[in-house]
Amino acid sequence: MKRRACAGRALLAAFLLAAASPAASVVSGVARVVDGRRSVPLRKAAVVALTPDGRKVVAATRTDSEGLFRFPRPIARRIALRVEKVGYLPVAGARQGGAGRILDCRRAGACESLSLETIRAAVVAGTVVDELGEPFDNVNAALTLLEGQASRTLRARSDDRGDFRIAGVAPGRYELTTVSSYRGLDDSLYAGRPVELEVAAGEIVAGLRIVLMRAGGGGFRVNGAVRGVELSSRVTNFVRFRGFGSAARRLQTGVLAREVNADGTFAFDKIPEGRYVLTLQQVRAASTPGEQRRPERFMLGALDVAGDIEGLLLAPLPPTGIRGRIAYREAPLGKPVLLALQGAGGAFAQILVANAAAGAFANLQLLPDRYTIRSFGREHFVRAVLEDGEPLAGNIVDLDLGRIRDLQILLSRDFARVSGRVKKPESGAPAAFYRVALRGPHGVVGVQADQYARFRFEKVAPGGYEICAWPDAGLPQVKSGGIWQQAGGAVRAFPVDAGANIEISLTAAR
Amino acid sequence: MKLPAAALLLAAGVFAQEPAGVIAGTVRSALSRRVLPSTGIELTLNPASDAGQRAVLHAAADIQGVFRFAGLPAGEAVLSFSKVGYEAGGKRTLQVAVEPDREVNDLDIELRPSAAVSGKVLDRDGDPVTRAVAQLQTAVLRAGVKSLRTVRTARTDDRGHYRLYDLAPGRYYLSVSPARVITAAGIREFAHSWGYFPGAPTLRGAERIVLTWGSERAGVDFQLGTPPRTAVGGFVRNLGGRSPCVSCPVSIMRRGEGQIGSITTDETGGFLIRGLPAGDYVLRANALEGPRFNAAQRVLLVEGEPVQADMVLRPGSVVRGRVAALEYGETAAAADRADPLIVTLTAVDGSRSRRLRAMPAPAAGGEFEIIDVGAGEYRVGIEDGPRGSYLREVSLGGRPLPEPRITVAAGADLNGLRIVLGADGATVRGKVDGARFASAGEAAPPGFAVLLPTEGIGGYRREYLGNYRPGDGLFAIFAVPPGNYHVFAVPRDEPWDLTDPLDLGRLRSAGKAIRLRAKEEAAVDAPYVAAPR
Repeated sequence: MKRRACAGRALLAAFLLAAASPAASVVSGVARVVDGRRSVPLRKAAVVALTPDGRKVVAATRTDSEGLFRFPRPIARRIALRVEKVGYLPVAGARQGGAGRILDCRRAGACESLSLETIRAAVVAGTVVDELGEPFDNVNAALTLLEGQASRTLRARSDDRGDFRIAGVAPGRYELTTVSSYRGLDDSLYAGRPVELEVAAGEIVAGLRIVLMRAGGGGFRVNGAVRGVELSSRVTNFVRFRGFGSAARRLQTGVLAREVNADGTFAFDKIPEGRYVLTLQQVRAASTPGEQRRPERFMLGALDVAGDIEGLLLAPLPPTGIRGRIAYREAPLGKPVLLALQGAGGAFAQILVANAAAGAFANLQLLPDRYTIRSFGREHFVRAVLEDGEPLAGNIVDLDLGRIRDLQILLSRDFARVSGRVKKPESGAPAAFYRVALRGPHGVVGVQADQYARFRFEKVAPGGYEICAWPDAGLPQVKSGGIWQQAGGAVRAFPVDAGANIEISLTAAR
Repeated sequence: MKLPAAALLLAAGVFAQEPAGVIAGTVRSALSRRVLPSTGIELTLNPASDAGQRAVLHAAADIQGVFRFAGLPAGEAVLSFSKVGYEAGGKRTLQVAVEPDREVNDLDIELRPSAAVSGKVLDRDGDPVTRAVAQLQTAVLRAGVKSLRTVRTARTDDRGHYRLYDLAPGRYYLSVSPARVITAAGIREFAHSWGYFPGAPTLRGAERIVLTWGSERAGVDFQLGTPPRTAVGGFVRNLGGRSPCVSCPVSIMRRGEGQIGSITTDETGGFLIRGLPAGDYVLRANALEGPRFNAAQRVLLVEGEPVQADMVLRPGSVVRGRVAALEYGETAAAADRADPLIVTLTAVDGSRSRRLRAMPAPAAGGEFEIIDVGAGEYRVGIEDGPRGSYLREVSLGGRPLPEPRITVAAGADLNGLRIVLGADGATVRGKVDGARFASAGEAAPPGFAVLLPTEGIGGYRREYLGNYRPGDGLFAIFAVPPGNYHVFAVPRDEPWDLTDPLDLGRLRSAGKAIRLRAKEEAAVDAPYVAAPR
C-alpha cells in the first residue's frame, strides 16, 4: 500500500499555469436571492465556472454566510458562471442545467465584484388516490411547462401514501399529468385529469388531491369500422391513435392501437380528450417460414376527441404527400437529414433522409394541410423548395387530399450571423449582462450580453426576425410572447439573408 | 396495485358447464381491523393442474373491503391478496376448496401493514441535505458468511426528507451517504460526512433499527458533519500500463459492507475521492468494454493522509483445480451422473456479489478451470452436487485449508485447488410443528426450516436451509454433513437474525437438538419459533 499526496501533480500544474498567465482575473462577487424588490444573500451555494459550452467544470467554490464567493485561483479564459443550490434558480433564463452567464476573464479585473441573482424555486406537491380514496403508489407525476419547449418536464413518483413532491420549479404556467407506472389487472392504465397551474417564484403549491381513474373512465369510447382494406386471415389490421401535445402525454406511450376485427369493426374505450392522427397498420402473414414482412401504414385522417364517438367510419386516404430529392448548396455532410413539415392546421410530420448523399425522399401518408418545410438541427437550413424549377414562397407547400407533389429541397449551410451591442435606454451606456432574444421562423433563441455589452447569434437561418434586450433580472416569458409585448418599441425587426453578417446597435427595453 | 372495484371474470367460458360455487369475504388490516378497499385479489383455480383446467380471476375489494367471486367450478382455489402498504409489498395467500353449490361468504382476510422509516437529514448548521441517499440494509447469513443486503434506498428531497416504506419486519442498519458536489478543485466530492444510525461514521458503532409489522418510525433524523479529511486517488491504466483507462468505473468497497459507491475515471484515467469515512477499503477498476480486464487494490484510509492508488488493468487470473473423483464413486447416484456440478468462487472482500462458476464433469476427472478471476479473497463452494454430497475439504497444493477460502493475487493464476466432496450427507424431512398450521385452510407465511450447527458457525460449519410449504409446512433438507444440529423453523419475514449471536442462542434453545449420522434419512418435526417482539 502506498501513501503520498494524491493528485498533487494536477493541482500543482494548474496552479503554475494560473500564476504564469499574464492575463487572468480573480473571479469573485456575491450571490443573492431576489424576492420582489428585496434581495438577500444566498449562502452555502455552489458557484461553478464551466467552459462556455457548459460541458466541463473549470473551477468551483461556495458562497459564505454573506453570499460572497471568491475563486481560489485566477482564471484566464472565457467561462460560463453558474450558481447552484437546490430550491433556487438562476435569474434570467440560465436555469439549472444551462450553461450560465458567459464571462471573458482574460483581462485583469474583468470578473471581479460580480452579482449573481437567483429566485426561489417553487414546489408542487400533492396526493394521488384511486376512485375509492385509497393512496396510489408509483404514479408518475409530470409537470410540463406550457410555454416553451415541450421537453421541459419535471417529474416525481408517489410513495405508499400517494404523496408526491416536485421541487425546483421555475415560475410559469404548467400542466400536471399523473399516470400510473403499471397497468391494472384488466390491462388498463390509470390516469388523473390534467391540472393546469400558474406557479409563482417561491410558491409552494401543496395539498393537490388527484383521483386516478382507469384510462377508460378518464377518457372516451371511440368505435366504428374500417372500410376499403383487405380483411382476411392473411392480414392483421390495427387502428392506431397517435396523440398531439397533452393527448400524447396522457397516453404515456403516445400511441394507442387496437386490432381490427374480422368484420372491420374496432373499439377503443379509453381515449383521453385531445387531437389524434389515425393510421391503419397492416401486417401481412409470411408466405414462407421465417419471412419478415414490414407492416404497411395507411393514413386514415385526424380526429378531435371530446366525447364518446360511435359508428366512426374510416377508410385509407388516397396517397397524399411529397416526394423528390434534396440538393446541397455546399458539399453534403454525409449525415442523415431530418426534415420537419409543420402544418398550419396542426398536422406535423418528419421525413428522415437516411442516405443524404443520394438525397431521395418520399412521404405519401400526409394529412391535407398547408406545410412549411424546414430542416431539423443546426447543420443545414432549407434555402429553397422548388417545384418544376420554381421556388415556393416561404418554403410552403399546400397539400390537397390525393395530391402528390414532386419537389426539390435545396439545403445550405451558409448561415448568417447577428451580433452587436446593447445600450441602456436611459443613458445609452453599455448594458452589460443584459439578456437578448432573437425571434424568427424557427422559434426563439436567447443569449446574454457579456461584460462589454456585446452579444452574438451564430448559425442564423435566413428569414424575418425580431430582436430585443432587457435587464438581467426576472424571468420574462420569452417564448409565450410576454417580453415582446413588454418591450414594445424596443423590439427591432429586420430581415436576414443567407450568409449575411449583421451588426446591430440595440437599445434595451426599460 | 389498483384494480377495478367490481369482480372481473376473465375466464368465464371455462366454467360454463359447471355448478356454481361462491367465494366472498372482507379484507381488513390485521392491526387496526379497518377495512381495506382497493385490495387486489387474484384467484387461481386448480393451480396444480394443466393449463386447460387452470384459470386466473381478478377482483378488487370495494369500499367496504368486500370481494366476491361467483360461478366457480369445484376444485382447489388459491387466493392471493395484495395492497400497497401491506405485506411488505408481497402477497397473502389462502387455499380454499370450492364445492358445488356451496357458498363461502365469510372469509375474514387480515393483511399486515408494512413498516416504514422516515426522517430528515440536516447539515451541521441545521440546513437540509438534499439528494443524500438513505439506505436500509439487513445482515444475512449465506453459507456461514455474514454480509449486508440492501433492502431499500431513497433520496432526500429539497427539505432533506426521506421515506423508506413497504418494509418487512426485521433488524436493519440505516445509513445516509451524501451526494457528491463540485468543489473548488473542480471535482465532485462529498460535502458532508457519512452517517449510520444513530450517528456512527461506519458500520462499527451503528445500532440496528427493529421493525415489526405496522411500525412507523418517523423522526429518524441525521445531522451530518464536515466530511473527514481522507483522500484516495490515482490513475488507472489499460493493459500494459501505457494508455489511460478513460471513463472506466472504479468501485469502492468497504470490508464487511460491500460496494458503497463508484466513480468514473477522467480523460487522463485519473480519479479522486475525498471525504470517505476512515477505514479499510478495496478499490476495483474495470475496463469499460471489451475483455474483462480488471484491477483491485486494498487501501487503508486515515484522516489527513492522502493515499495514492494507481492501478493497471490486467486480464483476470485463472483458478484451476479438481473435484476429488474418488468421492463421486461413493454414491450410486453419483456414479450414474453425467451432468457436471458447479464450483463457485464468491468474493468476500466486499465485492461479495461477484460470483464465478465452473462446471467440472465427473467423466472428465472432475477438472475445472475458472477464468477471469480478479484479485481478491474468495469463498469456495459447490452447487448442484451429487445427491447427499457436501463440501468436506478444500486443499491447495496438497495442504488442506482451515476454511474454504482462497486468495487470488493480481495477474497470477492459481493452480492445484482440490475440492473433496463428502458423499455421506444426511437427509432431513419433516413438518413444521406450530399453531400457525393448525387452523384449517390458512397458509403460513413463507419461511424455511433451519439446521444450525450446535457448536459455532463459519468455515465448513454452516447453516442448512429448506423452504417449507406454506400450505402444510412440509420441508426437506438434503446433503447435510453428519454432526450435531438444532432444527427449527422461522418465517422469512420475521425479524430473526441468523447473524446475531443473541438470536442464534435463542433459536438454538427453542430448536430441537438432533444428531445426524452419515447417510441418515431423518424424520424430524421443526418447532416453529415465534418472532421476538
